[in-house]
Amino acid sequence: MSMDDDRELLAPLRDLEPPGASTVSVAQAIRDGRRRKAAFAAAAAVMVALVAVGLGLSQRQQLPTAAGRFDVATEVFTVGTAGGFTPSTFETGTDRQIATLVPEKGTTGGATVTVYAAGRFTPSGDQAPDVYGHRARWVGDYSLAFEWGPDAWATITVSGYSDGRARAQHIADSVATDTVPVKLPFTLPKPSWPLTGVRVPAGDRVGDATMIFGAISVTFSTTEPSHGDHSVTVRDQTGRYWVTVDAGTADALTPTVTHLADTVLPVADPGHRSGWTILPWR
Amino acid sequence: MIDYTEYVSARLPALRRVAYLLCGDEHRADDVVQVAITRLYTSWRRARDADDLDAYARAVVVRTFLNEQRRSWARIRLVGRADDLPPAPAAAGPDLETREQLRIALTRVPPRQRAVLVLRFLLDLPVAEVARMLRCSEGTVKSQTSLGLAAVRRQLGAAQ
Repeated sequence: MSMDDDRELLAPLRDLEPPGASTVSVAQAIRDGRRRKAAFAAAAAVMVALVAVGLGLSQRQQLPTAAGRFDVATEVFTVGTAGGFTPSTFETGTDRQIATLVPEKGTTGGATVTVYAAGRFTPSGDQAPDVYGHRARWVGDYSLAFEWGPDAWATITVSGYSDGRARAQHIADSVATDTVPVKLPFTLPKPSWPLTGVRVPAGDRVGDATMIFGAISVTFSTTEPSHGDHSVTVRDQTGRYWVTVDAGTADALTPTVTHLADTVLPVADPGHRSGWTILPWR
Repeated sequence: MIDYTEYVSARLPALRRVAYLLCGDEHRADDVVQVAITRLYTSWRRARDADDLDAYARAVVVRTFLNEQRRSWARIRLVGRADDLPPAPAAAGPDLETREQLRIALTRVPPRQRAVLVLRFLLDLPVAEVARMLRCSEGTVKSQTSLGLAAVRRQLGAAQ
């Protein structure tokens, strides 16, 4: 088949037009666009207010600056499929939250979106085009940072591609603030160590889920994981899944820490995200 | 400096046509355009500074179409069965029935291949521009073109 044959095949569609009148509203697009732009500003204002209230009630003495903190049980942003990447995992934390993205196709490169709480990170670099009307900077060759709230920055880093900056811009366009409770496929008695983060598969994906207590982490897996140097992996109480406790160092792998693995109980159906729980403590 | 409302209002028919060729359904096409021009609004400063604003706006429509396809994949039939097509018309030629049959066949082609066919053969964009728009190599555009054309011919052949 020649190129002309190919063009001829689709030729009857060349004069095809939408049959009905348009229902598209430019005014609505402007309203929605303004709302979307305002979402970042509103989220920043809420964060500042929450931080102010929280610090006023409990931590005014401990934190001399107005630095913000995130709730580790809540995902504060979402990221879409963009720039050739799609979200893979999401990790909460008090100082920052991180979404890891993987290539939509193939295995080349990767990307991360890190949203920092106020006062936790200030980038330096050349000025970049605004993101949702917020000032932005290039950080190195493959990272874009934008100020999503007062003194609160987010970075998008792309690796493995020479057009990393353009891809980072597209990913930035897909980032939106949100407040999504983190759900887990297991429960356990509340340990004495503070919960400092949670790592789960992004969106509706199913995979390993981890609770992080400083240097110690507890990971629930539906498939047998590989073994690490400073960790212990056991079958869960149902015998169908795996629980890994990683202590960070061999010295820290004490009986108290390893006992954590025995206390983990899966939810009824860890294979479906709809059955995961926002209440992991028993 | 060009104004967003002025530009979008003037280009709306062209953007709707692109979306309609991609979606094959005017309601879905309008939904795609509505989302696309909202995105265009949020990135208007960058769009306005682009070398080719029309190409930028068209790319936003195409990417919105592909993104919407991904988001709603569970709710739609990605590729229909060839035997769902209407029977072949009695008389061959570019008449309305042939065009309708071809339109339906195109909607059965996977979205990315469909986008390549529409951009190359209905909007007459060069391979390099299609590759830029879809953020892939020119080789990928060519292979997607080949697969897409084969899929259309398969659909049409099965209906006859």
